[in-house]
Amino acid sequence: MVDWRIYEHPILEFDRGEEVTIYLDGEPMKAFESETVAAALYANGLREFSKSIKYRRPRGFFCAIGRCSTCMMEVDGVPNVRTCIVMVKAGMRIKRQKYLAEYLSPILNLMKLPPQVYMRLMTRPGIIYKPAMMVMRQLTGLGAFPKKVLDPPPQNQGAQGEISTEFLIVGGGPAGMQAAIEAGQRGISVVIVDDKDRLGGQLVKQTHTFFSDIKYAAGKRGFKLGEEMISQLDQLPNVRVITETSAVGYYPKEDIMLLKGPNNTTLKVNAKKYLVATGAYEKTLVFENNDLPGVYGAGGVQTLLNVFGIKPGNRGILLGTGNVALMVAYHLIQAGIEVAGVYAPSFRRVRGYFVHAAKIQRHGVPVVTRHTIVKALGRKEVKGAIMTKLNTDYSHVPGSQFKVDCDFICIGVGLNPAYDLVQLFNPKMVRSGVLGGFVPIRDKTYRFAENAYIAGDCGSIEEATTAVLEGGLAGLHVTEALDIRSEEISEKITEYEHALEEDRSSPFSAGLKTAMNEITVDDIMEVLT
Amino acid sequence: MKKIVCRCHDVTESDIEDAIDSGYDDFESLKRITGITTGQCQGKTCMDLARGILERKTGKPVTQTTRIRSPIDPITLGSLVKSTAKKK
Ligand SMILES: Cc1cc2nc3c(=O)[nH]c(=O)nc-3n(C[C@H](O)[C@H](O)[C@H](O)COP(=O)(O)OP(=O)(O)OC[C@H]3O[C@@H](n4cnc5c(N)ncnc54)[C@H](O)[C@@H]3O)c2cc1C
Ligand code: FES
Repeated sequence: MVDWRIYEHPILEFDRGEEVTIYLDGEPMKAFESETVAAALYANGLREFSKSIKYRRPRGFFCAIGRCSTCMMEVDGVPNVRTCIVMVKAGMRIKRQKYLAEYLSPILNLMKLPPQVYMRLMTRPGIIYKPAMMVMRQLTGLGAFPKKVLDPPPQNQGAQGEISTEFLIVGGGPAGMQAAIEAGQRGISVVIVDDKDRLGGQLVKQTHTFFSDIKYAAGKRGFKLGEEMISQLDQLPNVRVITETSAVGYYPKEDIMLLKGPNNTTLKVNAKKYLVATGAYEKTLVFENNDLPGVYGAGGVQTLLNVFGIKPGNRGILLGTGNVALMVAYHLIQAGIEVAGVYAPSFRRVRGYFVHAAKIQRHGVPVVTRHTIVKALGRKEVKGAIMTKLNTDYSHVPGSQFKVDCDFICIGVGLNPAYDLVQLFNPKMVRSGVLGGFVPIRDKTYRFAENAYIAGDCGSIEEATTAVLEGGLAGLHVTEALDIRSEEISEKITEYEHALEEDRSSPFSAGLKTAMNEITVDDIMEVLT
Repeated sequence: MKKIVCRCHDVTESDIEDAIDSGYDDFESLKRITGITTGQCQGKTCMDLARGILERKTGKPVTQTTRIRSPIDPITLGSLVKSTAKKK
């Protein structure tokens, strides 16, 4: 039986919990309680999780954090479940979603219809719509309707109903956690929700030591920093932590945040103040076959590797030379996986910290700039990549193409601030290249809407240390806005502000300070009205 | 060989380029005609890529995101129905 799990790792130990059996299309598979369904299936060698809706292309997982929706399968009778954020349970029955015989797909692929036709296909006359939909639904990978109405969630399960609180924090990464700690320590009643099974955000997969001057983080491994914050939160009885629950909507009229928990449970929360600390989404690239199983986000690979201890493949390449790509390359090498090269289109030198790049090169891995990927090779999964050299205008240098053998391709080309939940508060959004994408205008207290605050990557793509500091500041400002003031709080605010200032003064943060100043105003309400 | 921009609706780079060429050259129209940003993931992959293509083809910067509405993540209808039914 294939097993892609890593049982011996130089620096990590994987506590996988109890071994259980799950079933994929009736076939038993070995899984562990601490794994997500997608991780368990991947460990058993599954690469194709779904078929795409129109061209029925094979799709694997991509982000591994519930963002891209290519890992959807039928789990215990429920279609379209994102298997990468659902935890394994003994006896779980997983099915690949139905799609009518694969022989149809070449024919349908030939019908290259312009999008405007495709969207209206068979919607008229009304009489053919119903039968047509039944057929179409079979053709797409969207799964079959459940045979019976789903059971209502048992009363004692998950978080349900309606609650009120003083401070609701969405996102349990470093930013959200630090805000909860600061506000919680000062007596505010806090609810913090995260869609993962544990708090920590991106920190849970960072197994390397942070080097930073900041006393909160320097010299610690990322996930250890996260664990320390969690144990601080555990000591605060007025902070309620809700995991495996995501914020799916904010309704301004009712002033209600709608949360979705496991098994279709919903919880409505009304809070006096909200903090959006939802982090970021990974960027990707457009190239031929960019959706082939084996093309993964660097963060997704890091999750698989460092959180679940599962090898993504035997030999991979990385695209991008920012810190994320360099770190992931290093983590792969640590786990004994061959890295064929790190490639980036950039013409400047390597964007990440030089030490990271040097570490990788010492292991004989080429770090190559001025190159990009043209195509992923393979029919069902990645078998290789075609790379090309670039001219200064980013056109391909003719005749410079070469093939790299690999069974996975990791894309680490940066992050986009999570823009969606933020926008439900009707903020003023601006686009900033330096900050990573669309971010809301805010004031010095991190307030971006009447009762909402922002911190961490969703407000500007920076680092874990800055996320901690911004989160701490937002937590303190919310405390003040809830009329709890003291000398101590103002001193703490000044302390945080100094640390942030220092953090943003490093040569790597060039432009950051200016960009932050541009989106920070004195009176946010003036901007919004 | 396809270059996929929107994974949820299988929209390719050439679909987007064709749509822009046929005059859907602002983000909102592009969204309506191709379905990008309206799939299960609500644009988390495609929005940035489509924006890049639009800017490259038109030479104009895209300064606005598209309108976002609740819910931002699929939920079962049942869970919504139940919660309103309770209120009455
Ligand atoms: C691969 C990688 C390597 C990195 N390496 C370093 C490094 O070496 N040093 C460093 O300083 N920084 C590093 N960073 C950056 C750092 O991890 C981030 O800047 C930091 O984690 C941002 O914190 P955050 O709290 O804003 O967001 P996140 O850590 O992303 O946390 C956001 C949380 O919110 C949750 N969430 C999102 N939407 C919802 C919703 N609607 N409902 C409920 N929950 C939601 C997410 O699941 C997540 O758990 C790295 C990042 C990556 C991706
Ligand atoms: S949503 Fe599961 S892999 Fe992206």
